[in-house]
Amino acid sequence: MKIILIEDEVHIANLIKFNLERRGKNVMIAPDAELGLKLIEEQKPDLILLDIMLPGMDGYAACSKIKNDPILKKTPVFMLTALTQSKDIEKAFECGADDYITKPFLINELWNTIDKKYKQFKASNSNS
Amino acid sequence: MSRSNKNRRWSDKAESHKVIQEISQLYELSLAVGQSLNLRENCDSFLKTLLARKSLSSAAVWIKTSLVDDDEDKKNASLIYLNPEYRKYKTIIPLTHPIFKLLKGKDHISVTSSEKEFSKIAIEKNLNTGTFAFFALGDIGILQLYSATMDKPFDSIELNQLKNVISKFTISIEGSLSHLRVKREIEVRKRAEEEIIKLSSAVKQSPSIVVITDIEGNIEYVNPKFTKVTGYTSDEVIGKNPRILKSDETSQEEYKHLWETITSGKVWRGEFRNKKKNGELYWEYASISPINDSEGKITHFLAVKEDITERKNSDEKIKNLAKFPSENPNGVLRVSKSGHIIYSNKASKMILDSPELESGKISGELAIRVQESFKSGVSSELEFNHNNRIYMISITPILDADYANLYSSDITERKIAEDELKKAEIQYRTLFEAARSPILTLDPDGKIIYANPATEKMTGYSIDVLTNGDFNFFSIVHPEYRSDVQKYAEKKYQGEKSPAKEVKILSSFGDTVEVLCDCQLISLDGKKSLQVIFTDITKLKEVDRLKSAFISTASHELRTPLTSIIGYSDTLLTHNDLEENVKTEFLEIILDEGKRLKNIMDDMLDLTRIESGKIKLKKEKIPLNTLISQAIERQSIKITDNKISIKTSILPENLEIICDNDKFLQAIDNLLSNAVKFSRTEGKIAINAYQNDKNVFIEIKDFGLGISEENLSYIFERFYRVKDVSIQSPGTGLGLSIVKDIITLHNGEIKVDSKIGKGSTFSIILPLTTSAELDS
Repeated sequence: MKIILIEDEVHIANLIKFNLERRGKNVMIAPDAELGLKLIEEQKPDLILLDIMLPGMDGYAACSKIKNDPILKKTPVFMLTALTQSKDIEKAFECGADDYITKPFLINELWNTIDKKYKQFKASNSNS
Repeated sequence: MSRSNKNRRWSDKAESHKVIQEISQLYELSLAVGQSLNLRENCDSFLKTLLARKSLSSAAVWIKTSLVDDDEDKKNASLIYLNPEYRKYKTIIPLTHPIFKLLKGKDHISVTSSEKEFSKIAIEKNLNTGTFAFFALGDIGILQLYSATMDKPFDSIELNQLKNVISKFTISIEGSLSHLRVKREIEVRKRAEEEIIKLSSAVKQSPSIVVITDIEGNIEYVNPKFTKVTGYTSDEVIGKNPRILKSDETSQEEYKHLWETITSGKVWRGEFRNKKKNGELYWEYASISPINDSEGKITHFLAVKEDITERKNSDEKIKNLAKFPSENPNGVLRVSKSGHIIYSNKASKMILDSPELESGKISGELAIRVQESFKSGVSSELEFNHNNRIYMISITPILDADYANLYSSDITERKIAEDELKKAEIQYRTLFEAARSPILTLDPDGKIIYANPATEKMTGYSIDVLTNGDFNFFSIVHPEYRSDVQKYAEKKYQGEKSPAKEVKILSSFGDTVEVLCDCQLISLDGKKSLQVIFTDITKLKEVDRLKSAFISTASHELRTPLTSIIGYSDTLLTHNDLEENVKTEFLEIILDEGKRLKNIMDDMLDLTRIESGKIKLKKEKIPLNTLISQAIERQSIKITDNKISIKTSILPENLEIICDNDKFLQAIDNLLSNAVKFSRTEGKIAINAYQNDKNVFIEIKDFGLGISEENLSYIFERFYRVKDVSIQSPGTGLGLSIVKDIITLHNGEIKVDSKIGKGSTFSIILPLTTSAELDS
């Protein structure tokens, strides 16, 4: 499973990469949205973990771009952000995000959520 | 001899015949006596008979004057009867006359013609011859007989016969006299009674009150006027003391004096205030005099009184009228045409010592106004200040009398009240008109009755348009909120409680304004009205949004290091197989992110403190080089580690600034820290300070990464960070916000100039503060 993580906070990016790789995932990091989108186009990941507060293009815009791309839109996008207000969450879903994970998180919770949500996403997508 | 002849001649007649004749004569005489109680008739009938039977010329009766007429002298006797031929003679002889002396103790006395003296008194005519015979009529008088033909005295037989008859006559005379006396007494009494009746009716009908008391002062009589005035009937007061009328307005001394006066036999006169039966008071003028009996002893007191209440009242009225100007609580002055004060009452003292009046002549503005009044003949008023009081002086010219009356009243309190009312009115009007918030009053139909200028400003409609009667209030409410506001207003009209509403106003220019609409039910001119206040909350809303954004951002910024701290520690705990160097790396990250969290919290607190205005700068004169040295010292480790060289230039060298040492050092420190952070290894930093006549300039210049133009406009915003992968320790994003706030607190300015790859220059411009300003 190939995951692209777009996260500007180096320590957080490394933390997620370290833990997901320990579970056998292939994680690639992009420090901003522009680089992230390029990487997505190149790599065609199975899952995208997207921070919202990014330098330059923010996570909402990046999500919209992905979801407006006829090929990329099928890739599940999970927002991973420290923004926790309902309006932020609503906005994320409006931009086409498939799920929303708030920082801080426990590693197991992160893993379970990603695993569970990904399976759900895949199941619903294959059904439709 | 002649006497015996005469006796003989009488006895010449036949004895028996003579005796019978004598007896019959006596009988007739006796019959003549006592026929009448009238003295004169009595005398007349008796003496007529006597003269007819005897050869007598005349007969007279003398009675003691005192018995006939009380008025006559008691020492005289009056000839009260003489036979008809001599009736015209009425003579008085004194009782001391010898004839009365002769009578004493004798039945009769015969007097010859030699007693001429007496006959002269008795009969004017000169009777040279004849005989007089005098008979005592008991103790009451004398009967005088006279015979012109007899030349000798009556013989004893005749005398005895006469004596007999005369004694009867005497009794008859006594009877007549006593009748006369009784008759006279009756007449006197009758006259007295008539007198009493006359007096009594005079007293009864008297227009004065008449009261008669006994010696003790108990009422024996009151007349009808008394009842009319006092209301007490005579039955109610008889036997009582006049003190039942006392009103307590007359002093005990006066009563004492009254009593002393009348008991000493003198008349007392004076005025009383007495009380009627119904309690009403009345004034009376009383004259009280003692009544004495024939022996001069006081038996009664007579009081004659007048009800003088009306007179008293009118006196009182006149007195009161006279008091009007003098007792007037307002000043009353009379001023002659020449300006002299002719009269001033007590109350006018308050203004008499004013410069315009003190000389006894009016002057200044007052004099001018009085003269004007005289000329125009019209009253005028003048406000007059004296001794911190305000007086209103009314000038009334009395043209006929050539003077003017000046009435002054102290209107200070009224003026103060008026001024306060005016002030209050102005205050409230100003409050209404100067209010920044639109204030409107509506009638139940939504018509605007009043609108303040702020309404005009916010809505764009002029007050005239708003209040012209055709304008509907609800049309200024944004259509989206219109029905809400209508319902809200309706509720308020019903008196229901409802909190103010956040709505939008639509101005005539099409702008919308966010407002808080607060309606309140009020009574205006007795009608239910609605007062509407719009509070512009656009800015508040903006602040609210900013605050929410800040909280949201702050939350984000705190969660970021927390994510690392929780994530790495969780990873350390979850995986037992980690290599030591990895564990160390993770622990260092946890420590760094913990520090970062602490820095963020410190910066947030600093920022909050500065922005809440709670920080008071402790300004002092600080040498700039000391301040900069301290900042460099703080960064010395990083400077040394990164081999950065710092060049400082301060002109003049001893340049001093007035600032809060700690705060200003924090600002310089933040800027220097940024300069170090964004400098490359072995980079250079220049610190330059100089001044002109207005400002001090401090520049911190690095030759490092520089800031993109896009970022430059945001760098002073909170939590805005220029992110660069090459930057090892990210900042809090609050440092420059804090710098800006500190410089602003010092009335200064901060500017930034930067180019990517060339470096950045932060310049502080601080106004020169004088020592004087520092002291103040």
